[in-house]
Amino acid sequence: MQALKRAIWVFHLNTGGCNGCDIEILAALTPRYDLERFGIKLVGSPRHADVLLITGPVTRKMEERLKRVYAQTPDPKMVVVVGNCGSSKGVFHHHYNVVGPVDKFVPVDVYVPGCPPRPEAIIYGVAKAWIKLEKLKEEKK
Amino acid sequence: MSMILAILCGAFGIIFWGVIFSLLYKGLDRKLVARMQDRYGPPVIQPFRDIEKLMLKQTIIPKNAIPWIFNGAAIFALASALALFVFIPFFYLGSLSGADCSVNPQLCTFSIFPGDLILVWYLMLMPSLAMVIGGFASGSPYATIGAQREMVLMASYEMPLAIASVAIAYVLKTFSLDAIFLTPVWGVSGVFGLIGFAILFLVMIFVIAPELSKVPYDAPEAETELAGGVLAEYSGRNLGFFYIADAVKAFALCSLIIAMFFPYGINFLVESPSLGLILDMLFFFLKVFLLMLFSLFFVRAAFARLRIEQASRLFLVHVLSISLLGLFLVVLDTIIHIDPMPILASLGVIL
Ligand code: SF4
Repeated sequence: MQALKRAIWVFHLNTGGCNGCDIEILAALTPRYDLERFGIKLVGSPRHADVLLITGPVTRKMEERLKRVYAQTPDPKMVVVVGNCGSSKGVFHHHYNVVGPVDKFVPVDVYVPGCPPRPEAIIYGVAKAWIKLEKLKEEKK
Repeated sequence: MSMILAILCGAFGIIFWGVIFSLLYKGLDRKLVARMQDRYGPPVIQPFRDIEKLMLKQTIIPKNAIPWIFNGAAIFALASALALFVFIPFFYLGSLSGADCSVNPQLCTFSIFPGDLILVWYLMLMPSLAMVIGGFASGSPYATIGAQREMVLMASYEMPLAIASVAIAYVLKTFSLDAIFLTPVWGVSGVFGLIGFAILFLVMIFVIAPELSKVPYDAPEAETELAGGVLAEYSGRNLGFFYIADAVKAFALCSLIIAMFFPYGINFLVESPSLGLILDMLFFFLKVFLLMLFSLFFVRAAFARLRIEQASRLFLVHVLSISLLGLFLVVLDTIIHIDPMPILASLGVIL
């Protein structure tokens, strides 16, 4: 578990957001914020991931995909929702094509509010996911 | 009997240390590339943490996959990469599997199966091949495209590699690694040969990156377009095996190229043989580092990914023709031998 804390691989999934949060996630990888110094790495396949970074409200088409990506991620896994619209539908609240916030479909561990949140907040959110994992371990004891 | 036991212990020891150093080099790679991009970068021991974490994770076998091939490919890749350590002479003479008695009878204490250049090249090929097989067996379209690209890339870079090895074997009249290690090609060739081998050495440096499918030749594993390519469906322990195999292959390939082209040690600087061995070891690690720095780290920091057909054309047309030129010069040297010493002396180089 100690190792997982220091080597988090992140898979990034957009379930229908406006792309604002995605740009902020990429900003967190740039030299200014440099996620990699904590061992956090963006990977291309959910099979490699420890943390699912989900942005955007869940649209009707993405519902199925979201569930599948969640199922494809190997345990132990954490889900971090980035942005207001993923947490509570946000600006997309009354849209006909939006079926609900992310936590209606998969269990969410950390919410990062903001529209979009700052890169610091995203890094902090992923860091919080470790703490969640520690709690899980203590519960098991 | 005790001989066999000693060899087995030696094999495990060298594989253990080999893996540790391979992972350290991988960590150095990530750190240095991060520094080149003005980032702070992960600590050098990051690969160890990655491995530890991957071993803890759940290993999923997809529904569409063929389980025994899918799992077998990962083990096969790791095993063949580790087997490389037994055959490559690093900074000492004679590989672990025994000295080649026909080359140096005075050092011939035991000889099981000395291995040679051809065997090592095939072992080097195995992890990529295992990746291709595993990719096809995982039943995912991404992995299948990745596997196809990996095969195209393999077909493109193998030719220059083979030409360089054949050139060395042609001059030394043997494929034995011990012989290549003992007689550096630079000492036995004339002017044309020197130029030819210099060209072939550059070709080898150029081929390191595609051999390891690193940027800019990482189209088979393209994360942004193919979701990890050949490895898209691998998770947990299996992914960890491929991760180690990749690191080991990088280290082994660089060691092999050094053994082929630059096996010189610095033990003549000190009197005692044990101190000499330590110096040789440090010098060897420095050589591997420099080779990786120029062939992998700088290239990775500076270039973007090539499309697969661009990479393939680069190797099948340009690099291949350059290496053929090198081979031609080497063969020419055996016909018209011009001693380089007088020329060097006239240029004022004192040897
Ligand atoms: S939270 Fe705001 S910025 Fe982020 S995806 Fe939703 S609408 Fe866009």
